[in-house]
Amino acid sequence: MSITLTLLIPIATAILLLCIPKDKTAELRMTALFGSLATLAFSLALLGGFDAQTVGFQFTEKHEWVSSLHIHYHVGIDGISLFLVVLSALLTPIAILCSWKSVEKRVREFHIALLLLTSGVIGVFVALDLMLFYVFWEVMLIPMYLLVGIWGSTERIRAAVKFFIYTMAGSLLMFLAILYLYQHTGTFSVEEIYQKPLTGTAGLLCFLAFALSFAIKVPLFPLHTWLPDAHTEAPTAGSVILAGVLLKLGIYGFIRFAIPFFPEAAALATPWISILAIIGIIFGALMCFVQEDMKRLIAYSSVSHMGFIVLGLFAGTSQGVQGCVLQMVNHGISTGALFLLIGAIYERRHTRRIIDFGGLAPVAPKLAIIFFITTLSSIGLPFLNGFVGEFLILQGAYSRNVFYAAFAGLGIILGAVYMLTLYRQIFFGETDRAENAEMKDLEGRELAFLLPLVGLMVFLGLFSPWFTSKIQPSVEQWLTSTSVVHWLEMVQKASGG
Amino acid sequence: MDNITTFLLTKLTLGQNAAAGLVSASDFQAILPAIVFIATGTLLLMLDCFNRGLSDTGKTRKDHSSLSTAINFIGLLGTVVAGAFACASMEQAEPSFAFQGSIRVDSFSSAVSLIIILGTFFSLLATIDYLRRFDAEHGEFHCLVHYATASMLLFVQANNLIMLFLAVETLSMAAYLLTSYLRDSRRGVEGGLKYFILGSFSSGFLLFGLTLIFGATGELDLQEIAKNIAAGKADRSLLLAGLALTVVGMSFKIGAFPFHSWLPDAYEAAPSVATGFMSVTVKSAAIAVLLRFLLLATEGDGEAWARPLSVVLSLLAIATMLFGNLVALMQDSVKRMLAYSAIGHTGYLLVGIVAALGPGGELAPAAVIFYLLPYTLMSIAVFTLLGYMGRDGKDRELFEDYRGLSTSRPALALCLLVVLVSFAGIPPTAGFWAKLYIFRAAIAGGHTWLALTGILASIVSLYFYLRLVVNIYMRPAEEELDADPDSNLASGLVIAAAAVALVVLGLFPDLDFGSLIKALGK
Repeated sequence: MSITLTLLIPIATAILLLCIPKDKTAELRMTALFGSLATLAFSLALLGGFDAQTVGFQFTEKHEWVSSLHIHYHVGIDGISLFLVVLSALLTPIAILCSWKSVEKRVREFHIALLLLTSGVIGVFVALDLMLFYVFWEVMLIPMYLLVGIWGSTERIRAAVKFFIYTMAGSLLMFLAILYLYQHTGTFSVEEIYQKPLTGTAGLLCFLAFALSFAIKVPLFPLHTWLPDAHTEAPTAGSVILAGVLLKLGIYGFIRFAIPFFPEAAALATPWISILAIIGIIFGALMCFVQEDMKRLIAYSSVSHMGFIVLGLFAGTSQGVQGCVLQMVNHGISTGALFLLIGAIYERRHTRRIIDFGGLAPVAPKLAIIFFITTLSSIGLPFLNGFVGEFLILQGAYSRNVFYAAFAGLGIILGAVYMLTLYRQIFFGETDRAENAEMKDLEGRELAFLLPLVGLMVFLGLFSPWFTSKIQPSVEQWLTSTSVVHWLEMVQKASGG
Repeated sequence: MDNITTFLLTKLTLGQNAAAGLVSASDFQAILPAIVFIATGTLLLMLDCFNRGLSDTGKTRKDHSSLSTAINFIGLLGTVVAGAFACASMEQAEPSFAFQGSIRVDSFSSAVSLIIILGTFFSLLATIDYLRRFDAEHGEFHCLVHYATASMLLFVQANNLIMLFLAVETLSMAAYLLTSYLRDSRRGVEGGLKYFILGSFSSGFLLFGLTLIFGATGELDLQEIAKNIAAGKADRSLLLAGLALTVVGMSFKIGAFPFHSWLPDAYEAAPSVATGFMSVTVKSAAIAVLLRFLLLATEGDGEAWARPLSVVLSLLAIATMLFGNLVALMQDSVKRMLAYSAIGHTGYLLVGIVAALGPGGELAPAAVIFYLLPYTLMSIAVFTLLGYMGRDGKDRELFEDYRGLSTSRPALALCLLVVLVSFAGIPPTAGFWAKLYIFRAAIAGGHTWLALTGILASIVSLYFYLRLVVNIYMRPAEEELDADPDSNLASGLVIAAAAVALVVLGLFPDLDFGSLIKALGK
């Protein structure tokens, strides 16, 4: 029941918002915030009630939805999706808080879109019926499209349309593959399809359709071009959700659907995807060096980091996959925080060009400190969250192929260089501009949503075993499931022979 | 010559049960919805004479408008009554025949009738505001709509070649007149004439095709024709030519590529409410008839016939989907965009028909019917919008005209968002399930390529549906809309009802079409 409630509360809040007059902005914001906090509370209840030792999905619910096609409302959570659900629920109130002052037009529609988006992404993470998953997968596109297109900056419409067409093109092909899979297996139930993996040419084509859709979402090089535009043009709240949650949907799709459904095809594709991931790591990092816009820089750093996560997954070892799941959460927190910080700076200065800044550290010390911790977390400093995930992924990549690990390591080094350079350019040096010298430091509201994230960075860094203990059993179970074992055997054979 | 006439007469009048009287009460009961439409239409036409009289003698506008209100009310009431009768005939399990077997009533024809009546009801509702704003409140609009609907219902129920042709001709006549309804506008007359010429041309094809089928099988009754074909008694080459010409004739009516050229002009020329009416009802009727006709023709030794037919229809479907959606991409006028997208939707429906013909096509007819329902709601809603936005006697048709609609009319914009999302086939709207059922049927029938083409066409279509969303939501208004939403109450109601229905149908898409599949005469 609690999963359904977690899904329904944002929708119910959105409907409630429709009933509030549009000029009562304070009430609208409070209602939306309250609804999103209730969602967070329910997702935390899921976290609390989650039993790591139980095999399989928990909190499952199954009701018939469309009987003629055997589509069910079937939801459940395992260690892989658990933290992603909590992360999605966590970022929504933060997104609402960070837009408290910056979003002034169409406040009601903004919060409705944000809440529907939350329901959509949580739905994707909990759906255990392929068609239900697809419905949620597409449902969240419209709110995201509107968020970028209505509340974004100057080039917002182009970015929104690009984002939408890109992702829809991928997902419509996946839709065809899903229908084909249904024709082949006679079911939409994810767990039943695990028992009947699709092989041969049909399997390969269907895998390609799924993989294309997920790779666009991740985004994997060379399908990443929508991301810098969408990230840059989106309002801060949109960027936070986009980077924090939406990018993870692609990886999650690979874990939950693409690999176990089509193990043979996945094995064929594994070296290619790994290489694309490595190209993404290096390319994304190099692109960061030439960016003039802070937000664009973080967007490209996301391309790099996501390549990292994909690499960990396709390493196919226990460490690699655990690192991948953990790093998804870490990236959501750190990059989300970075976008929030840049949003705060933009609200004050109305520019994001790096050269417009300098010497902010003495002017805004709180901002400087939080930005610094976030930067360190993003580049994977020990005792902060990024380190554990990166370490596990590197370990996984190393056991698959030494070169993979070497390139990934290079990516980490480059990441440290561009992030620290960015930090130096913004916060150190002379405070030579009057606008910068007069800039206000973070206020209470901003600290209210930034400090929890900073706390999480430290907590995840220090107490990562608590997290991995929840993730590990599910990952082990995933790795020992028939079709995934088949995938790993074929990968082994291909690389060995 | 005399021989043929006598033969025809026997076939027509004394076909199966010569002993029984020529017509009985139950015959009329079978076509009750159509009778209601004809009666209401005639009543409205007569009322309209008074209307003219009033305006001639310089009576006050108030009298005038009260008569218009009466006309509107009677028109809508007739639709509801007819709908209730059609609903009642949905219930019957076995098909029943009337007028010596020239009418067949079963749950399939009743379901399509209901969709047509729904479309008519919404169109009439939207008409109220539209005609008032365009100062063209003549009863003949309602009358034409009612006659057209009546003939469509008969078209769907027709079980006999002659009945089929009579119904389609009556319906086309009404459609030509509706297209050029705004007779003061040059565009209306031009479009109506073009439609008339090409439509008559296509009727010629259809008539020739039907004649050849009659010649090949010696029967007029569809069931008998099917039996003859199945028994191999029919002359093959003659029959093939007849079927091909019939398909061509029907392709004109549904606007399939390459027989579509009348469609964008006629859609553009007609008053928006009439366009909405025609785009959904005529197409629903023609698609349903084509489906039933082809199913009967390929029954029995299905394989041999179904193959060449489904190859031809597949090519038609592919060309129609791609052409409609690609050309819609390049339009600057919303109305023309919708016209081309209507061609694209014909393509999706043809995919369903192709799937129904082959093996494994049991699900396809239900999929086609399901598709018609959201399509009706969506089309009526957008064409009503065009009427809603129109002023000074002109529709506002450019994409730019819709800028900033979300600020001036937030509720309307939200409803439109739902409708456009449904057009694009995105959940949780009914348009998504419509496409799902069609493509699922195509894949089940082994037509994966058709489904793939459909998906690619859908990707293209995203762009032009989004273009309207972009204008409504993301661009600021250039000029203020006139602040008189009251005069558009009925139109607003239509759009809102369509949006709500699309979402509800999208959340509960599990309609039981089992009975429909059985009733198709297989």
